[in-house]
Formats: sequence, C-alpha cells, structure tokens
Amino acid sequence: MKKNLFEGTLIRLIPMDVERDAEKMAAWGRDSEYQRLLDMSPAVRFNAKLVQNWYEKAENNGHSFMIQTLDNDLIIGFIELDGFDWAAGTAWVGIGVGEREYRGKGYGTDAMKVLLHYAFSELNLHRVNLNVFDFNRRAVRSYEKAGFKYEGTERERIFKEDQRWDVIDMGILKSDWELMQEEQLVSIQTPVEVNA
Amino acid sequence: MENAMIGKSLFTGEHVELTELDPEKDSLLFSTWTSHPVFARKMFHQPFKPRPVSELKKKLQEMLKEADESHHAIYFAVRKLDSPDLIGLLWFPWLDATHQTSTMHLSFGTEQDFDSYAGETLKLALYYAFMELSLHRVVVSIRADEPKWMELLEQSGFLREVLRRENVFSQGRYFDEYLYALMKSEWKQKLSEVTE
Repeated sequence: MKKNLFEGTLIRLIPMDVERDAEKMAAWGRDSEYQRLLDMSPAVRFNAKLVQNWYEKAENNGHSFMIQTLDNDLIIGFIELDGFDWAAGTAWVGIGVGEREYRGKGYGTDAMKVLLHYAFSELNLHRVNLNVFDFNRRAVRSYEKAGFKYEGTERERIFKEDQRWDVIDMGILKSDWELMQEEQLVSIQTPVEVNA
Repeated sequence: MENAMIGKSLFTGEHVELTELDPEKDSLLFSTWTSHPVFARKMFHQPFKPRPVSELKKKLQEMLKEADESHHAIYFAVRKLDSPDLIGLLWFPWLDATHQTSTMHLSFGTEQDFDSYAGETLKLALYYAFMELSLHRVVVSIRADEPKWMELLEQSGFLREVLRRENVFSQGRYFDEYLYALMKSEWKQKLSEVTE
C-alpha cells in the first residue's frame, strides 16, 4: 500500500483552504496566459474575496487540492475533481500550475498521478474526464504521461485571439490506470531511470 | 435587399411547433418522461430518480426562471400543430456566447413520436440554433445504444467527434457516449445540397 496517499515524487496534495489560498489564486490570475491555458471563459481579474466565495459555494461538490512542492513546501498550483456522476463513477479534473517557474518540469504530471490514485483507489471512480486546448501541447503530453487517452477533438470549440481553436477530449478508465500501475511495478523491478 | 425574416416562422414546421413550456400544464406528462433514465440524466445531471408531479412542476418553474434571468439556457416544448399535448422537449442547457457554441438536447416522449417528428423538429432546431442564436457549432451527445439518433444526426451532417468510453451507467452496465457536432458552414452546405 502507498505510504502517503497524497504524496508523489515531487509534490504533495494538501486540501484547499480558501482562507489561506484565495489571495494566491487571485494573484495567479494576473498572468493572463495562465488563465487562457486554464479555462475557456474570458480571462478576468477576480479579487481574493470573490475567489473565496466561489469556492465556498462549490465546496460541497468539488474535491479541491493545492499542489505543494516536497522540497520547499511552496504552493505552486491547484488540482480538483468536480462534475461527479456518482452512479456512473465519473468526474472531471482541472489543474493549474500558477507559479510560472514550476511549469513544464513534471510537477503537474506528478500532481495528476497522485490525484488519479486518490480518484481510483479511494473514491472508486470508474472514469476521469478532461478537456484541453489543442494549442496546449505541454499539457497534452503531461496528461498522456499520467495515463489519459485521447478520445476525440471538438473542432473550433473556442474562439480566442480572433481565431478558432480545437479542444481535445481525454479520458482514463480505472482499468487503464490499473494496467499502468502493474506496468510500473514491473519496470521498478528492473533498474531503469525514473522519469517524473 | 429582401429581408428573409419577414414572413418566415422560426417556430412552425409542417407538423410540429416549437412552443413555450408550461409547468402547470406540462408537468403531468413530463413526470412520465423523467421516469426514464436516459431522459432524466440529460435533464437533471443527477443520479436517476423518478420525481413526483408537484416536485417537477417546481423544478421546471425554477429552470425557466433561471433561464430567463441568466440568458444562458433556452427551452421549447415540441407540440403537434393540431394538438396541445407535449410530444418532445428541445433545450439548449448552456449557451456559450463567447465561443458561439452550445449543447443541444432533443427528446421525445415516445418512440413513435421520435420516428414521426424527430427529423422535422431537428431541422427547426438547427435553423433556430444557427440563424437566431447565431451559433458557430452545435453539439449533441448521445449514448452508443441510440442507433436511430446516430443515423438521424449523421444524415443531418453531424460528425462524431468524441467517443467517451464507458461514461454512462444504466441498466446495470456502462455505455460509451458520443459527442456529435455540426458547424454552421457544414449546415449551410448541406442545406444548399438539399435545395439544389
């Protein structure tokens, strides 16, 4: 059994505490590139109070975590499951690494792996869904590493910067995830370099 | 230049009409539909449970009020021209004005009404979606076990963009879910082929 359910190789997930985290999340919003990669809604500036209100309202439905680095305890982003269909055992995942210098270094992928472990081994979900913008190739690669499979392209789904862009749909089934755990177990038994 | 809006009805087809939904009159029949898992899931996004007429009436009133206030949703009751009875429901649950897209749901109370009126109603619905709501794309999601829907959508020019594996649970098993989409340009192309 995994020693600490919420710990990966680079990060740990800690429960989102809106009183502590709202300021930080509002500050990340200053980076419009971050907002445009994260969400299809128009980028806006929310003050901390509004962020807090939003999460307090959504609190009962979502499972939201902050991503904290293991080496210096810095909170670098968030990850959450929401849109649950408990009968089918499905949910949607959203992730954002707000601290620029921590993007593209495996922190997000590690957070996603930890979250999926929680989703499948504790929440007993059957499937996790996500959407990603076609232009966010770094994210697509990260999701593939975490085990997500491509399931289709929504053509010209969003309109930004005077142009239409595709949105990619990805999903991971519990059976995909279980297979991946077995494969990783096999690869750990033979000494190979570990990729984050 | 001739104004195509004058003398044309968006709501009236050859046999059916897109009409207002009336919770007082329609809830009774509606309650029999919401006892059907497929319909109930599309309508309420919650684990399936049959709802009594009184609760449904309230729920419909709330939905209409919210749609009116937010301008994000639109509902139509589909009726035959010569009868006040509800035969189907057409709704756009979340209009995304920024990106000019929306999901569209169309459901009929009986198989027979689907066979007789689904094609005609879909034509009205698409005209409304593209020429009145000015959408760039319309999305319809169906379960993999709805072959009649699949055929109708494909005949109408929709493309299957996404296959969400095992995303729906009903009758003791998982079903794949398909996302079908039609772009305004494709719809226009199809119309011109038909009229040529």
